[in-house]
Amino acid sequence: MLYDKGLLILKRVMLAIPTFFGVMVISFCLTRTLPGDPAVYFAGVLADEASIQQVREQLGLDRSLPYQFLAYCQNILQGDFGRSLSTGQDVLDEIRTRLPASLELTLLGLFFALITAIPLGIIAALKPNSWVDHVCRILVTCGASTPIFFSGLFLMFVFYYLLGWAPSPIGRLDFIYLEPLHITGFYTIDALLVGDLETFKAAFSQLILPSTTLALCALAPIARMTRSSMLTSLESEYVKAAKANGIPAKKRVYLYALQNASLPLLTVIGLVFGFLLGGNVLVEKVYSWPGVGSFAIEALIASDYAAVQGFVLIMAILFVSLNLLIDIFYTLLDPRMGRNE
Amino acid sequence: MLSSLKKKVPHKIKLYGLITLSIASLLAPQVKADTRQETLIVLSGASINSLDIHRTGTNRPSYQVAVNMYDRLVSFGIKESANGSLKYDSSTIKPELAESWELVDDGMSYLFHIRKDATFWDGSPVTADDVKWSFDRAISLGGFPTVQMKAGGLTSPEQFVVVDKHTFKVKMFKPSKLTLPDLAVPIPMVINSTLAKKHATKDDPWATEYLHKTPAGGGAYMLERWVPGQQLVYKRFDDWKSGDLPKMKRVIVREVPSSATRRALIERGDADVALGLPSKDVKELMSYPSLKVSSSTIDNTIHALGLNMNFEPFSKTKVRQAIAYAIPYQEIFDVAAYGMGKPMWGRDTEKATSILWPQPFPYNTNLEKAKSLLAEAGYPNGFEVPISINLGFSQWTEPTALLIQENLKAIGISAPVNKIPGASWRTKALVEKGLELHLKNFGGWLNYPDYYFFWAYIKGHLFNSMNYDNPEIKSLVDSSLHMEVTDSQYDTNVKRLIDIATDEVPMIPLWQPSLDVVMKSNVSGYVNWFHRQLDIRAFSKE
Repeated sequence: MLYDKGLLILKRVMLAIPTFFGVMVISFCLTRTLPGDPAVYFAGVLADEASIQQVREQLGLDRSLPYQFLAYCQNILQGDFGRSLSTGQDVLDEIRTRLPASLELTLLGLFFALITAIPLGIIAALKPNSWVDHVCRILVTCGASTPIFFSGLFLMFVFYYLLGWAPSPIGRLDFIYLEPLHITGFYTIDALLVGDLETFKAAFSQLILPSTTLALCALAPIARMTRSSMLTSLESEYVKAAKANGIPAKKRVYLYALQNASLPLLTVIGLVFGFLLGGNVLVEKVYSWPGVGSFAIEALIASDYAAVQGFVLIMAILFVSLNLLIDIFYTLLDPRMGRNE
Repeated sequence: MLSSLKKKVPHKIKLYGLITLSIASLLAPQVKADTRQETLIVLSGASINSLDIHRTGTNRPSYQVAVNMYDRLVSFGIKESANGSLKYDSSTIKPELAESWELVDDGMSYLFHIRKDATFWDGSPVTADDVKWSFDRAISLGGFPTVQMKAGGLTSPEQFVVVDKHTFKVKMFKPSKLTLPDLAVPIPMVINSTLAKKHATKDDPWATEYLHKTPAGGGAYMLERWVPGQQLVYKRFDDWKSGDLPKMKRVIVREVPSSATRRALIERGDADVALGLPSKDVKELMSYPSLKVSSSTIDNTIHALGLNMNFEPFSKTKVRQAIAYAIPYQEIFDVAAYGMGKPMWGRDTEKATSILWPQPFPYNTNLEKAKSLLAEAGYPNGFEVPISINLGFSQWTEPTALLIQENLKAIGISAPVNKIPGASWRTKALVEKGLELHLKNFGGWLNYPDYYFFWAYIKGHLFNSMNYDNPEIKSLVDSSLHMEVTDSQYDTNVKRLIDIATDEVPMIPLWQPSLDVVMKSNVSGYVNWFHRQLDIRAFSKE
């Protein structure tokens, strides 16, 4: 059985490769159809026809599309993602510093969302139509219907502007701190690894407001999914059978029901994580967070081919690996998987 | 008893630990407060993408690095305007790296005497060789630096001559009033050529890769650190000789993309200077006692409505005049500009009486007149024309377009708004020149009316997005462009230029924008430069 599961996982991994190639082709073609001519944009304010042409040649945009694509593939294989024109940095460097920033924020936001949403969903499912259920419903509705930039600005207004509890929303660290040594790229973890508690405190306090904003947005789907899948599994035959057999309520709910309910939940968490990572541009803007989302948007606006392609590719790798991971979890959690193949 | 004591001991240790920690954290702000007095914190909405202004793709906010970290031979003076705001003075040119200069060779060359005590950050003296290498670089790399040098008549390396170690000559092909001011713009900065050449390669003879991330200059400020996308930290170069030593020891330029966040930060007093706030916020913050606003108009710059001659109705002067009478100027100025800037309409006299530029055009909102002009031109029932706006400047273009649209409807012209993303704007408006009716903004760095006309009113030139063609304007600009402003013909020429532009209105000026910066009330020294970027050298804190 373990062998079967191993094989299944291997298959999944193999399937990821054509996906990457597809993503490369699509991102290449899509960036080429972006409106605007990067050569004109980057030639600068006073550029004339000759200097625009010169820039076009420098960027290699005067070559044919297939040639450009092959050159691009070759560069990628050598680990060269090109240079972003709008930020002036190598795309890989840019992503290396920005991705951890986004990941740190997203993971903490997701963590906050999980520790609130899952218990809330479970209690709501255990006592449908009780006050907890209503609270859950209100929270879910609010979370789903409040635009993220609004909740971001609102939290900032209350906790920074009015109360002064939160630190200034100027990014990952206040001016007075130096960023910790780059180990993982997560400031909080790096600060802990080098034993710098003060920087950890500073980095963590910068994280609280933006990650809470993200959590508010992620809360809704997770709580809703927990509630509904818990309801389904609580009603199911095996829980009833367990009850009939006199298995205590705690074990019934948290072991049998929750384990089975966690499968659809896992899928939702994967989706929410992806959505938060790519979609938190507004939070990044409001809190001056140097993450990948705002980088990608800037690049899109400037028709910055290398940056957009690099971003899409890295995000694709991340998404595919995430889905792979969830698939693997699924395979391990669900005893039915891998049996019949 | 014993067990309870045992339990207490670790508690005590923890407690001491806590006390030390809290004392330490109490002391820490004190230390920070001392350095805070000499540190300036600037919030910027834009991102610096290179430390080398000559490089292809370097964006506008990065020009500040050229200003603060490099010196030029000469600079402009600084004057105080009526409301106390500081502004560069285009009429005075003052020494920077060159302590003096003179016209030689019958007025065909400038001879610059470079300060003998000036050094780069690494201690090596600034020599005429460095100046030549830097100027050669600017005209050889192509793109923006080359075009800007060309505007001052500087196109060939043979124009730059090293006379001796501290004497440098700039030869002109023809005498021009633009050459000297063009040496005061950010482009002709002086680079430490010995250092840069060490990093030059065969493929990269001008060391663009090196200078992109590592400045090598002798300007008032050095680089402490640059984290792209986050912040740039300047530290003062204490041996700077090209001017008075700046007051601030450190300047942190922090990127805060959201203007709402910038406003919150400056209101709370967590930063000293906030750049690029919307006019609405600036207007509101003006009344705050803890803040002050530096606001002055940007020289040689107009927000305007362009009418494309290739669009059939606009080829008729009367249609253009009709539109000029249909614009709700005052409403636009109130709603889109929040009253910040200078009105560009409603001049009393029909003909220009001065060569002041930009100056108001003699149009007013007069829908009746607009209608009758339209009927005279053969369009009594109007026509349809999209009004294109640049989404990159939606803060002013969007409300302006909507107000214009409303009034045009009243005279029978339907004008749907066509929103164009910032990145495609340049291609569509300036390169293809295919937008029929569009909101435009152009500012000339060199503050001369004829320089503006050169870029914006001559057929084929980049900022003539209207495809306007008038042989008289061309010949007037050709003869005035290099003429001294003291020449008796100059006044006549410029007035004639303004009169033609007024009468034919290929471009309808709306208002002259202002550059507004919000500072804490104890901070002073923001200078409104023609390049609109941050010059940190004059800042001080009380």
